[in-house]
Amino acid sequence: MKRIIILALALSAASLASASQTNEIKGKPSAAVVEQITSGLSAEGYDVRSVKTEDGMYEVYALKDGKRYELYFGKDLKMLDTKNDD
Amino acid sequence: MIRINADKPGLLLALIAVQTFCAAFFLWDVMSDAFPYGLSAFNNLHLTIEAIAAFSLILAVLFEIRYLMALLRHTAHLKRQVSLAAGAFHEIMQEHFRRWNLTPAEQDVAGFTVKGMSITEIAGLRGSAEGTIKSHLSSIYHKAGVTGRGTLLSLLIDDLVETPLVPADEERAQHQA
Amino acid sequence: MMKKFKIWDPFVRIFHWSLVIGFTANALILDEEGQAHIWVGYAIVALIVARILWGFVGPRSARFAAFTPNRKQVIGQISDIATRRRSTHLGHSPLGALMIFNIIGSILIIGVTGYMMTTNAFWGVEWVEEAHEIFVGWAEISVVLHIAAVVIESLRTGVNLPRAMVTGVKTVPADVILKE
Repeated sequence: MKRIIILALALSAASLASASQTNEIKGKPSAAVVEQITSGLSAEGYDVRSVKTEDGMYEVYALKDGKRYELYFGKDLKMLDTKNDD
Repeated sequence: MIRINADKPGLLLALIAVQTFCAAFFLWDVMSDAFPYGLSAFNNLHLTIEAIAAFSLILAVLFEIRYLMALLRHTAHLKRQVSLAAGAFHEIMQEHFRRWNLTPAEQDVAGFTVKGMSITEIAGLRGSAEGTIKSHLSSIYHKAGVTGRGTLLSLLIDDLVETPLVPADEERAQHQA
Repeated sequence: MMKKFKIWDPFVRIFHWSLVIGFTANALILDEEGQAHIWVGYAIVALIVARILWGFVGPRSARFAAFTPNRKQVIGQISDIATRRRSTHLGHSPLGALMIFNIIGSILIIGVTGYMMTTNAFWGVEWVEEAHEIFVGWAEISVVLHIAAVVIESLRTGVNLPRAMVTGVKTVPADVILKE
C-alpha cells in the first residue's frame, strides 16, 4: 500500500517537473488584458466569447457576421493571426 | 472488536464510486493548473492545498476499498437475523481467523469447514479443485495449531463457553432493573 | 479440462476494437485542432449509437437486458473477489457491465460536447470545452482501470478475456463456477 502511494507521488512530481519554465505568456490572462482585448474587438463588431493563452499567445474565440474566429495576440496586444473555423 | 453493520455495503460502494470521480476531477484540475508552471506551481498555497486534497481523497478511496473487502469477507458466512449465540460464535470465529493470519481464501474455507461441509462441497462453492481445498485446510490447521476439523471446532467451542454472551456489567444492571 | 463457450458476435467485437483505435487516435495521436480529430469523433459517436441499437436487437450476449446488473449481483461479484472464490460470467460481469455503461456514457458526452464546440451557439463557451476535457480525462482513467481489471480478472478466474473479445469464444477452466 505504501509503495503505491509513494510511486503515485513520484510520478506526479516527475511529470510536473518536466513542464516548461520559460517567461512567455502562460496561465490565465489578467482581468486587465481580457478587458482590453474584449473592448477592442467589440468595437470592431466582434462578439467575444473567451480569452485564453495558448502557445505563448493570447487566444480569443469570437464571432463576427455569423462566422467563427480564433484570434491571436502577442504581449503588446497586437494581433498576430486569425483563423476562420468554417 | 468492531460491531460491523453489514446491511449497507451498497452505500459504501456508491460512496467509493462518487469519490473516485471527484478524485479524478481534482487530480485533473490540479495537473492542468500546475502544468504550465512546473514544480514552481506549488509556491501557490491554493494549488498546494488542492493537490493535498486530491491525494488524500485518493487515499481515502483506497482505504475504503480495503474496508469494503474486509467487510464482505466478514459477512460472507453470516446469516441475517442470527441468534445471540450464533452471532457470538461467528465473532469468535472471525477473531481467531484474524489472529491466526489466515489468508482471505483460508478464511473462506475455514468458515465452510466449521459449518460441516465436505471438501467436495467446499470446492464446488469456491470454484476450486479439491486438491486446492485440501492444501488450504492443511495450512489452516497448521496456523491454528490443531490436528484436524474436530480439534478446530473444540477450540472454537471452548472459547464460546468461556466468553459470556452478555458482558458482566450489563448482566448486573439487568438484574437490578 | 477447459470448456468453450461462444459468446461475442462479430459486431460486438469489431465495435470494441474500433472504439479502442478511435479513442486512442483522438485522445493521444491526432491534433485536437485538426479536421481529422473531428471526423474520427463523429465516427466514434456513430459506432456508439450503433452499439446502443445493437444492445436492443442483437443476440443475447450483446443485449443490455442480459447484463444490466442489480445491486445484489454487483456486491456478489465483489464478495467473490474478497473471498477469493473463482466465479465467472458468460457475458459481461456485473462490474464489467457498469464499466461499459460508464465508458459509453462518457464517450457520448465527449462526442456531444465536441460537436457543440463547432457550433455558433457554443463557440468559445468555456463550460463546453471544460466538460469535453473533464470527460476525456475521466474516460482515460476509466480505460486504464478497465484494462487493469480485465487483466486481473483474467488471471484470477483463468479465463482469457482479451482473447475472448477477439475470437468471440470464452475458454473456462473446469472447476470455475459459472454464473448465469
